This record gives sequence, C-alpha cells and structure tokens, in this order.
Amino acid sequence: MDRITDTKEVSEALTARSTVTSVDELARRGRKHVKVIRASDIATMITETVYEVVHEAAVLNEQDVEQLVLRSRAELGSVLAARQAEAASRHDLEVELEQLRTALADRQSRISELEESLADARRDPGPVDPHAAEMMHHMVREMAEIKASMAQRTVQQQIEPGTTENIDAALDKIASNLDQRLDQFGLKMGISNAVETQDVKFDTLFADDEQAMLESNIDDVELKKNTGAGIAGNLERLKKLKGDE
Amino acid sequence: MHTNNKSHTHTHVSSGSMAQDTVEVALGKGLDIGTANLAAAVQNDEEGITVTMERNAFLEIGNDVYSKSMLTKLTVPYVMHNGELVVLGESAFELANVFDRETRRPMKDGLISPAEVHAMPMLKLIISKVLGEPREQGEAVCFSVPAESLDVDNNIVYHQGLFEGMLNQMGYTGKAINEAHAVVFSELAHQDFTGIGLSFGGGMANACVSYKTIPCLSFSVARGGDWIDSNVANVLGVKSSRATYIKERGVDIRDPKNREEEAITIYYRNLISYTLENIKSRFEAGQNMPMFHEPIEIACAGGTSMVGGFIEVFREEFAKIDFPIPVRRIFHAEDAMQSVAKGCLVAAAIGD
Repeated sequence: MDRITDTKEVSEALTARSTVTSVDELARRGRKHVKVIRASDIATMITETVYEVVHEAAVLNEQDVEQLVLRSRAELGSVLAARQAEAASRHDLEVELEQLRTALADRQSRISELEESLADARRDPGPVDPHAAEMMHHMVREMAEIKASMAQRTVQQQIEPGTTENIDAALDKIASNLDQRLDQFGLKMGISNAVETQDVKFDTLFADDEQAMLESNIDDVELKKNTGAGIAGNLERLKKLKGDE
Repeated sequence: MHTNNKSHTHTHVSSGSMAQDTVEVALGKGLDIGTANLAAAVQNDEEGITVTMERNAFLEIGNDVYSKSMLTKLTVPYVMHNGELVVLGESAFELANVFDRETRRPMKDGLISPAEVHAMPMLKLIISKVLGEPREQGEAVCFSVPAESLDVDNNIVYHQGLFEGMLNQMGYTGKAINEAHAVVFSELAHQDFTGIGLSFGGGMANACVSYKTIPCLSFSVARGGDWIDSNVANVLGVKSSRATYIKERGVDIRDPKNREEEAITIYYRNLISYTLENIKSRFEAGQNMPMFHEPIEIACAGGTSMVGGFIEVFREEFAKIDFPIPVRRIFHAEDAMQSVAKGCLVAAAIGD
C-alpha cells in the first residue's frame, strides 16, 4: 500500500461519482463562473489528509494504521457504490422529466389549437356538420384525459402545481363552451346521443311514392339482357384469400 | 359454385321431358348505378350471370291518348308523372335523337343531379325494373358509388344514403362499393385482387388501387363520356345526345374517318391523358400506398372505354408518363359494360 496507489484509487472514485456537463448547459442554468479543480488534486488532498490524521494518532501503530486504511477503503467503496446508484436513478428521473416537459408542451399546443377551433366555430358556425358533434364529443373527451393526466403528474410532483392551474382553467373553459355547442346539436355529455348523426335513414324520402302509384307500362316491357361468364372463379379466389378453406 | 349460404330454388323444366331440375341459385345482386346506364347482375341457373341494362335517361313528350296508345303498342316504357308522359331509358335516347332534343338525366358527373331532384320517381322505376323483385326479403344488393373527385369539390354522402334508402324500401339490403373497386373484384381475380381497377363511366373516371381485395386508394376525376359528348357537341354544333349517338355507333379513335370522329378522337385522347396525369400525381402524393413487390396489372372497364382503339390509345398515353408503380399489363375487360355490375355481384355474393 502506498500513497500513489491510494491517490489513484481515490481519483478513480471521484471520476466515477462525477457527471459530465457542457459549458452551454451550465450557462443555460445561469452559471456564468465556476471554480475548477482537478480530480487528481482532490484525490491527493484526501490521501494526504488521511495519512496525516492517521500518522498523528500516536496511539496507533503501523499495523493499526494499515487496518484503518483498509476499513476506510472498504467504507469508501460502499459509499461510492451507493452514490453511483443514486446518480443513475437521478439520470433516469431527469430523462423522464424531460419527456414529461415535452408532453406538457404538446398538450399546451393542442389546447391552443382547440381554443382557435372554438373561436373559429363561434365566428362562423356554418351549416351543421353531422360529424361535427362527434368531433366535439371527442375533443371534450380528449381534454378530460389531458386534465386527468396533469392532475396525476402534479400528485407525483413531476410538474410544478402552479403550472397546471392555468391549463385546468383553460380546459374547463373550452369544455364548457363545447358543451354549449353540443347542446345546440342536441347532444349531451355523458348521455347517449339524442340524435344519431350516423346511419341517417333516407327511406322516408320515397315514402310518398307508395301512395303515388305512378301510371306506367314498365312492367310490360322487356329490357335488354346479356349473359356473361360466371363468378365462381372470383368467389373461389376470395374464399382462399379470406382463409375460409 | 355458390358461396353465399343463402340461395333461391329455381325450377328448370327440361324441354321434351316431364322431369324438373331444381337448381340452387345464390342470392345477392350487383347494381351498377352509372350516370349513363344502370345495370343489374345476378347469377343465373347456368352458372353464368345475367345482366339487365337500361339507359339512365328520360324524355317528356306530349301527353295525349294517341301518344300513350302508340307507346303501349310499341312496348316503349313510359310513366305518367305530374301530368306529363315521360319516356324512360333507351327509348328516350332514341326519341331524343329523332326529334333533335336532349334527354334529361337523373344523374350528372357520377352523382345525383341537383338539377333533376324531381327525377327520383323515374330513376327508382328504372332501377326497380333492372333489379326486379327481391327473391327474398332483405336480399343483399351491392351498388356502385364513385369516389370523391380530385378535380371538383364533391362528396358521396347524400348520393350513397339516397340509394341505400331506395333499395331498402324496395325490399333489398343495400350496401355501397366503390365503382373501381368493383372492377377489381370482377377483373383481377387472377391477381388475387391486386392491381389497379379503372372504370371509365359517363360522368367520371374512377380508379382504385387494391391489394388483395383491400382498397388502398380510391379517387375519381370528373371527366367521362358526358364530358366528351358535350365538348364534341359544342364544336360540331349538335346536341349532346347526337354526339353520344355518333360516338356509340362505332368509332375507332386510332383511325377517325370524318370531322365528327376526329372531334371524338381528340377529346378521347385528352380524357385519357388527363385521367392518367391525375392518377399519376395522386399516386405520387399518396399515403398508405402498398409496396408492390411485383409489377401489377391495370384493368380498364366502363362504357366510355368501349370505343374502338381505347385500350391501344390508353397504352400509348401511359407509355408517355413515368408511372410510379411498375405495371406488367394493361388490359380491357372482356365485358367492359358489365364489369362494374359483375364486380358488385361478386361483393354481394361473398356476403361481407
């Protein structure tokens, strides 16, 4: 055991514990000036300090000093492992935080789009689009999901609580306006559609024809008929493709 | 061979024999609702198909006892509507040419004509006649609808809903299928329904890219036989019905014989070129396009493709453009007029 080896080990431990960051990143965090010291210098200081402390302890003989150094090294190793695990966990959390920030930015952008759409719809409602009610229904559902997601993340302390308050207020406002709009369409949130916008039946367009009973000789007329090749081959192929065989 | 589980028993009496053969004929009908023609296809008891066709047109003539009596004797189909005597179908077209008049058309550019909202009873009568009565309540009918156009602002929502309602009221269960997709069902079975189906109709040209029956891309351009007729009529100074008559009596667009046929040829080439350019640009911009590992085939059908030399001119125009999909073969449907109806029948018979 010698000071050079010990110093080298401490230096490696310091290096393992450190993180790499760029000058730009530091500047972004508001750090304009930093104090710099070499890891090797720190390692040397620590080693010398340990040796001096141990040396000045007159009650310890050389064997005891070695034992003390060994115990110190073991303890330093376990502390280092703990610090490394902590650093890895911190890194994972930072990555997740960045992802959540991105998702938050996307949600905010989506909210802006919804607000714009609502403003446009107010300015020029236009004819009622049979699919517009469905779309609005979907939009309100989507905003409810955004809101729930925000609340969950606030609880998990992944987002500053104050950030969600404004978003919640915006979502509430939009949802309220969309509800009013849906009322105009005859739909209610949470209640099955009063009017089915799909599957509109056109049968009644021809209902009057039954009473009309047009005078015609068309039943007595033969229309031109042609024959053609059968469709058995087509059906056979279709069945094969669909895996019926 | 009949796939649909539902079938209709047809009794066939052999000549010179008292024996009766009972043949199972599968239910399901195909209906081509075209701007120019209506065609209904049904499987017959000789393992083939029977296609009933009528022109989608009508003509109002003077209402008097003599006229009605003559029409009845000549078995010319007519209907009394709002006090008017209205001749229907092919006879209307023939009469219009005799009297140098224009027929009235319930459909325009592939869709219900907004100018002929009162033509619904006539259209329903013609459809009812070509389809016949349902052999069973709720019998499936697949009817053709066009795709939305690249070059005009339209949508098929009302058109499709209208015909579904009409067919349901007739006792059928109507289901829509894209017109060009029907061509794929009819003509590309040997390619496992993979390739491009093109339907050149009276109002539109429809295209469908299909991969193993799945329509990956469907669209239309709003130019068809009617566009040719109206332009030819303009340059020749005749009625559109007259231009249609000239076109349909037999023209070869590779070898026009006179001024009228030259006009038809010019507009045909323009139609084909325009359609191909739009198809090409749509394909190049298309999302969800399948990657064809093998060159595909293109099937052309529809009444407008019946003119002499059509497929040859189509191949010529096709060779001029750099098509984004490798094509092995371009062919004309054997029964181009019936292809859409036949494809609709296939869709109805498979029972999806």
